[in-house]
Amino acid sequence: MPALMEVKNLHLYFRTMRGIVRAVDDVTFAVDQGESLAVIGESGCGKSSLARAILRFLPRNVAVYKGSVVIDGVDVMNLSDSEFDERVRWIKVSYVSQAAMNSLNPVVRVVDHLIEPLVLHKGVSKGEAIEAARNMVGLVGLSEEFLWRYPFELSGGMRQRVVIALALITRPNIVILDEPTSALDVMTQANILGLLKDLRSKTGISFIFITHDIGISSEIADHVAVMYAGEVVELNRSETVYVEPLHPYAKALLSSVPRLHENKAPTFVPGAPPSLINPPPGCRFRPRCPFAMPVCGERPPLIKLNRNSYVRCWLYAGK
Amino acid sequence: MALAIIVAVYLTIVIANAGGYVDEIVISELRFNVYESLRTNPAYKGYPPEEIKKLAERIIEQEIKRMGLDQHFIIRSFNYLYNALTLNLGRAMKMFSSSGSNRVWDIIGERLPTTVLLFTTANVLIFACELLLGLLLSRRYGSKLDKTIISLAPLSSMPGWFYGIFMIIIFASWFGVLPYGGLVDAPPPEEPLLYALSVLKHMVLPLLSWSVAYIPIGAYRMRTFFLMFSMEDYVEYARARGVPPRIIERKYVLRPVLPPIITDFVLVLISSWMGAIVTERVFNWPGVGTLMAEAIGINDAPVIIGTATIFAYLLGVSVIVLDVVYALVDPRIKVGE
Repeated sequence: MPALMEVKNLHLYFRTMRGIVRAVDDVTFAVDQGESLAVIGESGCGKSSLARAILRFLPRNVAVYKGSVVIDGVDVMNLSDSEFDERVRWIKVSYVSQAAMNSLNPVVRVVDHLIEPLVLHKGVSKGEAIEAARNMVGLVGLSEEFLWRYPFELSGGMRQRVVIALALITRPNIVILDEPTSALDVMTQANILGLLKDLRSKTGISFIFITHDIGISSEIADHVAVMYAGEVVELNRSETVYVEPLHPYAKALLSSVPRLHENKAPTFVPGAPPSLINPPPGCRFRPRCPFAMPVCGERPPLIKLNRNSYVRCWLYAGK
Repeated sequence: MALAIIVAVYLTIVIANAGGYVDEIVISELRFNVYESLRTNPAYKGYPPEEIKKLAERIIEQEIKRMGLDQHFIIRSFNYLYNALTLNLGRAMKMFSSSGSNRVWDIIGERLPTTVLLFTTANVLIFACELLLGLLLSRRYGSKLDKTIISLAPLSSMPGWFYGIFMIIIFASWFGVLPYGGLVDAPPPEEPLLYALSVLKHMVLPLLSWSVAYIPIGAYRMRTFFLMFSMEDYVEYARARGVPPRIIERKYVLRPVLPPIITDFVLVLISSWMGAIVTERVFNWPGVGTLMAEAIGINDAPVIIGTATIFAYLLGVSVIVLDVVYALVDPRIKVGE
């Protein structure tokens, strides 16, 4: 079965005063129907830029934007902006933004937010759209009266649910969630995660879940992509990544997570992540890597392990 | 609010009367006038000087009583305040309306329409240009047009009348296409339409000079304001959802910032009714500004106080109206509770 979404060699570079920022550099992965992919990594490693690149939501200073994103057999990178808006944006892929607390216009009612994508992208009549909005707030666990409220009257968790409803209202195949729980308290985080799992089993939707919170990603992910300095250094099934990560960075990252049932102190990754303007030549993790070898001065190959799993490291080149 | 109006009016009363010293000027002028009129009046020719002096002192005393100058200034200042606040603006000391009335209401009422005509037009025009240009620039920030307007913003370091002088030199003196100033051609055209056209012709230069002085900085300010608000998360997210730019501008940028924009507009509108002293002088425009300048020049306190009172009231009322309007346009603001 072909994957629902296949991202191949996706690049997104930004032009800045100090040089070219390689925010997304040659990223490849696939997402199947009903599957969740977690993208984890430190702040500033290009996770959010990856979301923007897939959704073609780009700032003005884009220098390079290339690669292929095949959704349902169509390479959406070949579509014009208006075709993309018409056929992909919010139809196939929608997005839950990073700043969910402030993602809703304070002076527009919840219902007007929710019907907007339906009216704009699907040409649904207002009455039908309101009906759909009624169902959707129920689905995300809010009562109908919230439709007629203004966002400033809702709590953070409720707003997050509204934003999720807003991303789901057009029934897309994939939702990209950019740090959907980072502004919320732990209880609300757990609620939202429960909601997402529930939605996935009810609707068969796929998630791309971007987070720096490894604990949360393990709750929901089927696959995990570990990003470092604009590259995906390891992509694998989550049970493999969380238990025996391959890439040295993935190892270091995961051993920095405190564990409940193991008597092991968390460690930290020495050094600081490199600037994306002038990343180190060859393997970008080499300056911080305990296993660095002379060959790491050259760009490591992408070593395929399975379908939709790989590691980008010289350590595994011989195998 | 009411307190603010009272304090403002009282301050104007004290200042306009120079803390009571104006009275002394008035009294000495009065003495001079009485003696002069007696001296030059042929009916009193040949009267002995003592008699004339007695007569003069009696007239002066009467006049002082009539004008209420025999009471202490503090007491009178509160009388003035009471009269001003009840909008009983009284009569001017020396000025007259062109119809011959010396009631302050008549004098101000006669000047207000011309001021409103010119300066309200100017301010509404400038405001509309600022708003639209600001929106246009925020949509295309960094473009050539944007840079041009921004580089023109320092023009506002000089007031409107400054450019007025140049405009008069260029368009009135050199080219002779537009009048030097005034409200209407002399003699005024009989036909209403021609009259209106003539007034319009006289409005061109003041409007132009104010536009030069105030539109670039205003557009710059609005542009920056809109740019700041179009970086809000909810605007970004609306863009990510593919909401068309026109709807984004209307629903996501303009709607949430409506209250400050409305405030700006209303206050500009009200203050425009006070006219502009120097600009009216430069263009010889018979408005409230000129009136104020004349009243200050000859110490006509009732006119100064009357004008200040009317505007204090206008501002007070419009701020109350604004509060109500806020509650209507912005759901975050609620009346009561």
